[in-house]
Amino acid sequence: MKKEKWSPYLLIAPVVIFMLLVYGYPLFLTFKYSFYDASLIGENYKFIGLSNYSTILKDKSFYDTFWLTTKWTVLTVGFKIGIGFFIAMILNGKIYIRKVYRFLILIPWAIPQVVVSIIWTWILDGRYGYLNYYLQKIGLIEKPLSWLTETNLAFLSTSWVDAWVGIPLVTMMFLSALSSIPESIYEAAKVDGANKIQRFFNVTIPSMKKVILIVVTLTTIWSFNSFNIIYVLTKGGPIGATETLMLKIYREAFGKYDLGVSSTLSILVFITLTLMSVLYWKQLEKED
Amino acid sequence: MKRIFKRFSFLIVILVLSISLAACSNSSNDGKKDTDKSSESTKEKKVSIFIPGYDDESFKPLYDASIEGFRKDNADTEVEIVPAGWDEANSKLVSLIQAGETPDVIISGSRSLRQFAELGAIANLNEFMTDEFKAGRVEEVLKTANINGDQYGIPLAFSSRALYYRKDLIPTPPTTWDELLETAKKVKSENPDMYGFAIPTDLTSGTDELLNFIYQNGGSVTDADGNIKLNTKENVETLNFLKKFQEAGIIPDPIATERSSQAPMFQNGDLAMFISGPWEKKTLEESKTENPYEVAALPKGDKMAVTLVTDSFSIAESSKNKQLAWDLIEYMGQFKYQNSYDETIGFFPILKEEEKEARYQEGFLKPFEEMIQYGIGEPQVPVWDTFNKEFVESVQKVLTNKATAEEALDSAEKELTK
Repeated sequence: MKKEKWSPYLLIAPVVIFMLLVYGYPLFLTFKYSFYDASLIGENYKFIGLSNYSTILKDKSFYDTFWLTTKWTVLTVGFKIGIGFFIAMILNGKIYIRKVYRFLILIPWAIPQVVVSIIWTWILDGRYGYLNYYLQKIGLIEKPLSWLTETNLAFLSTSWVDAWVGIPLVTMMFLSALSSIPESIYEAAKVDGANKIQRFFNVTIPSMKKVILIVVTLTTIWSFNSFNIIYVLTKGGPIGATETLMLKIYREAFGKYDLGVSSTLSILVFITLTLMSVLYWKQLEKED
Repeated sequence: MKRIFKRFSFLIVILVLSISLAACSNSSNDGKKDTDKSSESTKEKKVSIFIPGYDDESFKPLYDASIEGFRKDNADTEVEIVPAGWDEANSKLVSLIQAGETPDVIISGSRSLRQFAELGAIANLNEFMTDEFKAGRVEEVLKTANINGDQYGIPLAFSSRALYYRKDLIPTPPTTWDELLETAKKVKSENPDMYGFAIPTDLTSGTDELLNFIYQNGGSVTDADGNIKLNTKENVETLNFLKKFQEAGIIPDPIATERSSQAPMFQNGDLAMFISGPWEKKTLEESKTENPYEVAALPKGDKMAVTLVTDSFSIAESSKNKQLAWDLIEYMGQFKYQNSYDETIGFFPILKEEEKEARYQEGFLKPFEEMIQYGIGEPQVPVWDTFNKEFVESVQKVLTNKATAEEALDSAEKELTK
């Protein structure tokens, strides 16, 4: 009995120890430095209590950046979920060479993010980019658009590229959920006279609720934490239009070398994401 | 039990996902050094040198020549090269410092020296500055690495600026701001597909080009005590002058224009005039037949002025081999290496001995050389990256009509001084 009680913990112990060392320790340091006036390259650390928190929370620019990050995350998650679901529905249907499509859809996800970003900077270049070239050629636009240097377009472009990388995984998660819905339920619905739309809303969506919740939570966390793509595409510009919290943290750490403020911002992001995850968890429990 | 288990594993997942950002500042120590494999690890002494831009095909042979010479003359010493791209130089350097692997010698823009010095990352070099050493150096250039009377860097690259223009389209280069604007307008009206001028506002190098205009109008970005002061009458006038180019539609999108993209645009026949350093010659020579070019002194504003930009050697405070590090700096700064470095890239004299070189007295480099007498160093601001971002963004706001010059400069000043 005793052995049975402890064996699960023993089995997961190596992973827990690994996690504590690799993730727990940096987290502990981040928490610690958020209470210090510390420089990334200096030697002098001074305990200042909650001063970093108070400075940040009194600063209007923090809320502006937080709001911008939220908007960017919502747009990006919207792209990922919407397009990912749509593609999953298509790939779940009876289409020719389905397996080939399933393989091809994974390609964007398999390319390193920095490489993807560099490729997209060429595509989106305002002067010599492919996108403007083809849009002009088919007559959709008259003059080139500044995809990465006009504030609204840059916001949209960075969000789109981040979504482009994330869509394959979302598609695969939806696809596995779709394929696990028993065909018999659809057949029963059909017998009851449900049309395609009714079957979608009354069978497909309720059966996938749990997966949708998981995907929304994970993509929100990933999008909120997105850094590589924005940094390579716009470096947070133009005029701060794509400066999300992650870029702000980076600038505080590697521009100002302010370890205290960058750690504090990191902790605030951590708290936000944890709170959001708890909400998701509660929802999941309700579903159970 | 199952519930506790679920909670626990869920928390682990959250930790994994969220702490990646903590890793951004703490565990991204990619201090993986690209050690020169030819170095022998069995040597008694070891000195490392951090070189941004080392892999650039123009610079690499120049660095290699002097370092190889040092290796030969100091058979017991191993020299380790730590390369980095200019864009990621700061973050790589910080990672190395955090990992306790700070290179002994660091090459950086002289504008970063104040910040490094105040943080205690680099050593005061006064003790190494013998009269003989100082006597061989161009005094004004040496001063660009001097912070409040203390020498923290030894310049190794010194650049000046001039105006490149299309010789076939512009018979006489503009000599004043008004002429610059008029010439750009004229070229654009005669060649609708070509821009008359360009104002780069990129974070990597646009600031120095914008500072030329600030200085030419008698402005500055700091007050007499070195504190940030942006919202001044002179600076507002300067930004309003630059805005005229945008309003006239004679410059390419300023936000999308990088300093490094000007020469390719000129080469493609898309641009008639731009301001930059002598290194653009190589690109422009390739299309000289279709796009003939000439260089001239910068157009005068209220006065003649140019931003003097230097890169410097410094020694890490944590270095255990400061004397050896200094020996390497002295060695690389010898006339034969320094002169070859400056001649190949198009830089200006670091050593007094170089000033006599014929290339500075005539031909292509002459306009650049003429500008040096009007030179003003880059501002020694407390945190260059933050200043750079706020200052450039204030110019971008004005050029895109998102704010007036007063509003933009005031907002940047408040952000930098809070």
